[in-house]
Amino acid sequence: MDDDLFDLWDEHQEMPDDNEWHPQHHSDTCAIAAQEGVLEDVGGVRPPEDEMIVVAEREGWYTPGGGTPMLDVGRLLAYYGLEVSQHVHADLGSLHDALDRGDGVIVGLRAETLAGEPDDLDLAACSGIPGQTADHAVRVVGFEGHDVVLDDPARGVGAVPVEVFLESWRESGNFMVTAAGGRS
Amino acid sequence: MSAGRLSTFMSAELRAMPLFRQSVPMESGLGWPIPVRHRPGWDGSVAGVFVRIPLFGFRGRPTGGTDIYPFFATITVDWRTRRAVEYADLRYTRPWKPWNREPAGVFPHASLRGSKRAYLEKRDALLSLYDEMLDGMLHDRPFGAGDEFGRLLRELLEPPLERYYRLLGPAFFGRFLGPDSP
Repeated sequence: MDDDLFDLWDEHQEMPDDNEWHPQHHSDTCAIAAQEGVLEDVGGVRPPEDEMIVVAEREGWYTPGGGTPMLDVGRLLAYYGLEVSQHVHADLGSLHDALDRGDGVIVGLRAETLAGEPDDLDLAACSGIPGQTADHAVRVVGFEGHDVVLDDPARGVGAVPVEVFLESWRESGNFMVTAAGGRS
Repeated sequence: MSAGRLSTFMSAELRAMPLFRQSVPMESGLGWPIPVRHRPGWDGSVAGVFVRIPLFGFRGRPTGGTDIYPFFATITVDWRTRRAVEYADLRYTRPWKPWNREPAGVFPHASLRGSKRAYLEKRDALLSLYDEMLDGMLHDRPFGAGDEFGRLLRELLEPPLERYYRLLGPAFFGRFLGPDSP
């Protein structure tokens, strides 16, 4: 995906410390890469993405050529020892609370809304297929003023206006996964 | 143009279904629907109208365009009730290898030129014709816009996925795209 197309992204803002990008290495591994970021941030471990793919595929949480069902996001975190909760219809308050507690947070966002590409953009330059309302898993890093800082496996670490974040989050059902320290 | 019923169903209602969230990868694309008239075997009553939607993976390329992958599943809903009646994992039911990481091709295809807006308008127009077709099937009315439907479907359907579409809905695609070329 071309970063230049993502005009809402402001790479020049000061970012929180845990802003390392956890990129997805395959077309359909955004949820796995997002979980990789939480594992490193909260669990202090960083299994290779390929290892996580093998585990997720073996357990039925990931379909190669497809991706990860929403309700399977977080299962890898539990597999590697984190305490995981899934939330449907979460809100900004519960997101703030989770980050304040130091939890890792993954949300589902409507990718097309997040990209915010103009209607007059040439079709060949679009970052996806217009009209496809696919969802996308990203790790929430924190807040910077009126922006939400995301570790987006497809685009990098960057900030989006909270209004854009809320709209794309709402369209995916305000799904959120939180993860706290390990069981051991 | 306001969103039609099939368009709204695909963009919002289907993705919010518990079955979808539990079984279908969130990153999935939704292919062109396949209307099906089917008489349920369990009671032999009047034939119902169903919509089968193929699911595929896709990802934008850094150099422009979007890689599209073969269908990996289908989900079928009863169009009258909007209830899901089947989820089929094609790794189990079809001979091709949807777990292959190689894309089938690239979107947009060569004949699709213009802006995102123009594409979305054509997409909405085709989905509105689907609404008309499905209404006709539900109420036993003939579908009078077959030529226009076929022209738009031919224009918008992704050529790299055509052979998969034809395998999933041979009668429907044979009717509106014409016979498969050898």
